[in-house]
Amino acid sequence: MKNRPPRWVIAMAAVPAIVLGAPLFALLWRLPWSDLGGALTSDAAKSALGLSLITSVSATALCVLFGLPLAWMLSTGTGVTTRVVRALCLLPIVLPPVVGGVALLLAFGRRGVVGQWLADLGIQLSFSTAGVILAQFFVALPFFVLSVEAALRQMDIEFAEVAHVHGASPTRVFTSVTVPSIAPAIAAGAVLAWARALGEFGATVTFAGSLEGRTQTLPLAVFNLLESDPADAVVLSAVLVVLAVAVLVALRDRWFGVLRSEVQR
Amino acid sequence: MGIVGCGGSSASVVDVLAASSYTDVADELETLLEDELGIDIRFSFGSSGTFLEQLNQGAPAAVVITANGETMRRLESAELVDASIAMNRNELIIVTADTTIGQSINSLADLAASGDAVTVVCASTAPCGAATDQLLKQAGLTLSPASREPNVRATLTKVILGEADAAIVYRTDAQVRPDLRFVEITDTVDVVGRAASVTGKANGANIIEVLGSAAAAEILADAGFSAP
Repeated sequence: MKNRPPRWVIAMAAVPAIVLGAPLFALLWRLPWSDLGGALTSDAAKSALGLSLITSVSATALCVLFGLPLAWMLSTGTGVTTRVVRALCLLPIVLPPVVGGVALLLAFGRRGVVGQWLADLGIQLSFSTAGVILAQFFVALPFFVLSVEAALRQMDIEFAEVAHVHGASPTRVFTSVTVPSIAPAIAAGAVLAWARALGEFGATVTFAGSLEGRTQTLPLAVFNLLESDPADAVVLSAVLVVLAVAVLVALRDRWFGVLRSEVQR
Repeated sequence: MGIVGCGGSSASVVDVLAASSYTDVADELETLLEDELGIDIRFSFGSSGTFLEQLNQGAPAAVVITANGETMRRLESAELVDASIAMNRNELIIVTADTTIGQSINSLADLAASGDAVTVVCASTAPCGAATDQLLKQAGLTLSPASREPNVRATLTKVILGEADAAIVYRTDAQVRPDLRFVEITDTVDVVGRAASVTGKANGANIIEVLGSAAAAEILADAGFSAP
């Protein structure tokens, strides 16, 4: 028999459910269904949508490319360096994104510590699409690395050891044994990183600015539209909500799977 | 003057919603209002464009101060505020960073002609951006800005940090940074800041009266705003 929670618990639990649910419900309620098409096909909306998809997918690809080796390093290390790097990796999660944007400017802006060297080479990241991708990479990387590192630490290392004993190189073991066995974690980490990159606002507007077609992503377009055309802003917000829901559905099996295995234990 | 409701109402705070370009004069205006009216005043700041939505949603402001007339007209036609008064004028000017390109800019035409200058201006949705669009249109010039920032302060910041060579901002916002180089714009566009009391709010009319007084005009003039 199930242990039913008492009424006061249900009443308390209803409060956060309403706080979280009401804004989403209100957003859909206020959606101007009649001119949905107009709002979605305006030049600003189309370029923001396209730019958001290109930059968030690029940032996610970079997260996978560079995050996988980083997670591997973090999962094997135990020293001070590992702990420092892991703390650095966590920082963008707790840092307000605007602060992240300021830090990016000080590092990669054209007068920044690194940026002035890039400027000499004729590369300016601020105010560029590449700058948007960098800002998204900065805020999204931790989600990928943490997800993959946790999986690597929990992984059954027996297969890898067998492969190693049979003479496979560490690279070979990693690509043909380790990566396939943690594939679900890589996928989940990539989806989380992508969702974070898609919703990025503060670091982007601070570091890359806001220009239609070049750096004005979907969240920036929503912010701009709120001043001139709130109805269109609601439509673009709904697009972001739909994408977020799609991410949750995509991850559902994985998260529920984790829950089930916890229960069985 | 100085007549306020008796009893409990004197303990409550009266809110004034102001455009972000008034940030630097708010402390002095607040002191003036409190001295004159004997009530507790609290300023909060936002982008003028968002005031309509905020008041519609019941923001507790007794008075609104917008950066331009257009925004106030929208509030008036939505019947959210009573008749407004003109508080001050503000003009667009160019500020440049101490970069080689920045130093070479001496007019709006220079800025438009310079293909290499990294220029930032306000978004069209913000009053300063709408004024910038009007300025370029009447001068028959086009700019290709590197970014259209959400408000005038964000625009100015990009030049202060040296990320941009030049920006078009309000004179009063530029004045908070005397270390920057100013370039005057001939036949510039000015915007008129307006104040109005929110319909049905107590104290609103009294505050407007003080904001229209000579003492308020002096505070605004000291901060670089010109008379309306």
